[in-house]
Amino acid sequence: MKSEGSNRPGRFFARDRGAALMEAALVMPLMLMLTVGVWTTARAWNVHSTLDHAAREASRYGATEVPWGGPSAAKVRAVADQELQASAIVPADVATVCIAQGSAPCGLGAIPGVDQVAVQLSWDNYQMDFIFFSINVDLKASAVSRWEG
Amino acid sequence: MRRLSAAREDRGFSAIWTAITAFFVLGVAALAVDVSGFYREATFEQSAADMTCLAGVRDLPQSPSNALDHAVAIARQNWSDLAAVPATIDLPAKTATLDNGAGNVVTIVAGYGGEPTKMSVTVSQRAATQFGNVLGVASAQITQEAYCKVQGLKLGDLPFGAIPGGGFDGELQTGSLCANGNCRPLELPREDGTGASVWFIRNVAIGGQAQLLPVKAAVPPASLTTCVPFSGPCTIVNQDQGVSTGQLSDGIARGNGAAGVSGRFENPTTTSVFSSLGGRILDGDAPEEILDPDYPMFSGVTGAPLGGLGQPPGWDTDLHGLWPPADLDSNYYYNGTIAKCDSPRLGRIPIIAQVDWGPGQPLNLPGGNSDPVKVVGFYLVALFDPNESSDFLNPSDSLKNLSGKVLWLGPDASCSGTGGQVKPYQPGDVKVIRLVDQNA
Repeated sequence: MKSEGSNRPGRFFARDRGAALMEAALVMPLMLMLTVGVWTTARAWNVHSTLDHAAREASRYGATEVPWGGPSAAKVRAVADQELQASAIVPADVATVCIAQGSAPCGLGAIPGVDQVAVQLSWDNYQMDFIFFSINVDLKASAVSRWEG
Repeated sequence: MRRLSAAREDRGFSAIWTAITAFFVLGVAALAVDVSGFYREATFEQSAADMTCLAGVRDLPQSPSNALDHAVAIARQNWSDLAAVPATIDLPAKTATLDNGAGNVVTIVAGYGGEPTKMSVTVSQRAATQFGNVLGVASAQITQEAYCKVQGLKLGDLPFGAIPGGGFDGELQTGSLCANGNCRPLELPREDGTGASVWFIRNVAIGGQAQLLPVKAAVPPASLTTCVPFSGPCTIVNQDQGVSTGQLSDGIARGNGAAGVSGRFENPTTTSVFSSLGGRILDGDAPEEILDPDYPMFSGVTGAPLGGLGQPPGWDTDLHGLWPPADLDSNYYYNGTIAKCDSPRLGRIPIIAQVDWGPGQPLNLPGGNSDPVKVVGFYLVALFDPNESSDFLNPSDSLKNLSGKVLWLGPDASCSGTGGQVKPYQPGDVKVIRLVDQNA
């Protein structure tokens, strides 16, 4: 038989003390992973979108690079780097797959009577962290403009 | 007892509550991932639509067929799922459609809105959802539009051949590239108030149409159509660097800040001067300032506004806008180096047009002109000394005694081979293309 005192609120909470903590401890990792997962996925989209934008801006710049010369590819890449840096991406993380001008640059099909400027960027093994595990993905972006020379 | 029982009943409440709320949280998280994916897709679609539009519009208004073909070709390059899709081109309607049958459709309209110089590209792409399947939403349709327009050169578009602030390493560079016969020339005024700069200003005033001439002799040759190549390496005997900016309504020239005062291209700390006729150009009170017998194109063209010039033959209002071109308040600028060579020679000066598209250079120019720019073509310029060709060999000779003529050759400015013909300017040779709003 329980004593009178066992029905006091203090005793009652004493028995349940830690239950919520335990349950939270079970749930929190899941919630944390979820939260971080949302963030890291959104960031991956953002990075991919930024790569698209950088490739596009660089390609458009390359389209007006007339005449196309030795330093042109580096200048086009520099434009892409500016866009990457604007989104807090370290340009060194993003590799140049191909920056070229010509009738069929970067292995693209030729367009009769038109020169093209192609910019292909890639962030290989971009790491998406989910706390308890991570996934590496290759983010690629490509843009093709009509050269205006 | 009852309380204890209640406590036991409460056990697990957090977990149940978390499970319930997690359902919604997970749903929102899934929605966030899907929506962010849609935004990424929309960004890509917009970029590709822009490039498709810009690739095609430059063929307008002369050839809607080419415009559609080239737009379709660039669209195929940018959308891999459309690479092998045949295009449906309706020439009478000036439309082209790429449809992969899976919800990805690109529609291109040449002459959008009844304007022969305008193009639209509408992209409708089916973007798959990552988690939407749970709710039975497997995909979403994303539609983006791009509008662009081509314009001919007009007043204010090409006030100067300019070298962007970041440097232009085309054929205007000094050093070894000078051996190619290009030593970054720029026309300069004569001290007596006449000279190439006057003609240059006319070129600006009429939007670039001008007679062609290559020059090697001390005075302009009678024939203005024969290409005279310059041979031998160029030795720079003098050079000057600086920045100039202002408004065309000032007459371009700013004689050290005072309109109408002759001057020269000075160092960056001094207001630069290109023209000896500051304040007088385009004022319309002296047509003879602009009309010149050396320019057959202009002879006999009298009356009408803008310095007495009428609309010249061949003026294409679709490309160049209404005559006279508007806005004398357009800004001009120059930022670069003039190099004087030891012999007269040809050179190419990039034509800079103000456009809305970046990345813009030069930036932070005096006068607050920070508009993005792009190279839309080239002047071909022949430098010569109007008084004495041997002056070229005199290092101490002032640059202002140099003079030159602007040869309008369009975007492919070139002059190859003895006796070859320079390419005459044709309406549409140089165009300014830009993305615009739908109703622009």
